[in-house]
Amino acid sequence: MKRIFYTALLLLAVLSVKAQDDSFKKDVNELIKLMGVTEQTEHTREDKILSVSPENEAAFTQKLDSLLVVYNQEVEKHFLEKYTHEEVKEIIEFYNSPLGKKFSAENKSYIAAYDEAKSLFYEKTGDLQYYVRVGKYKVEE
Amino acid sequence: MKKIFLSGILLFSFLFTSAQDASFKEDVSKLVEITVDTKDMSLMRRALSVRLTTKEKENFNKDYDVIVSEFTGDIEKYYLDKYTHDEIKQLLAFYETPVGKKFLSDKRLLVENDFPDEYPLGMEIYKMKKKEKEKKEE
Repeated sequence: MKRIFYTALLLLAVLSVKAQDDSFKKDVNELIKLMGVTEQTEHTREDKILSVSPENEAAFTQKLDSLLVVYNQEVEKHFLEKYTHEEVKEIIEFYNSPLGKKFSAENKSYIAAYDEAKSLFYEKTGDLQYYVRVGKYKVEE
Repeated sequence: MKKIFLSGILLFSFLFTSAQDASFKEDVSKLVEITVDTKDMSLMRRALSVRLTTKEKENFNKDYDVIVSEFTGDIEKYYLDKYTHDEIKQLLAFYETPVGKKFLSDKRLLVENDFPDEYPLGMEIYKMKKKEKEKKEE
């Protein structure tokens, strides 16, 4: 009788820990969606596919998609290991506020604006690099 | 007398609006400063000017800093267009909390494809492409 009682107690503890783990994982996945990881990954995926030649596109896409499977697992692992469940809940709470909802809905527009600004920056950096090469900054000693 | 009074009100409301705009812009700048990572840009500035003399470097740095501030200016414009001053204040307040700070450091990396630390997307794709190239060259 005592043995049955202890086994039941152990089982209850195991089930409770598992339920906690599942709920943590569920919240982590919600946070990953809210913070824009999906949009950022999709944006990068499209950008990288565009950068390869058409004849290599299919093979490259396949390899990239395999990498993204690992990437998504790593992102989930990152939150599970570096954040507590409480912290994840707190961030989700922010995303549930009117501002948080707007912030999340604007993920795509922010990624696009950031990307455009960065491309423009690289273009201008290229110009400066050219000016260095042609001696625009040369000062006669 | 009435005219002076009305002009005074107009001037006051103009100054008040200007002060509000300036404070909005200041908060947006604060937000951009903490959300946008320009560390790589500083490294690039050093790399591009490595062969220049001190004086030449000075002139180059001036031009380089202008394009960095144009970049952050574009991001500031995005926030000014999309959010109200009150929303920016709320975002700043969230990023000042302990969990907000932690989250912000990941969000900064995300947009640069440097997230997460253990498996930065941009670097992993670069390594994959490099490996493929080496395989083809063999």
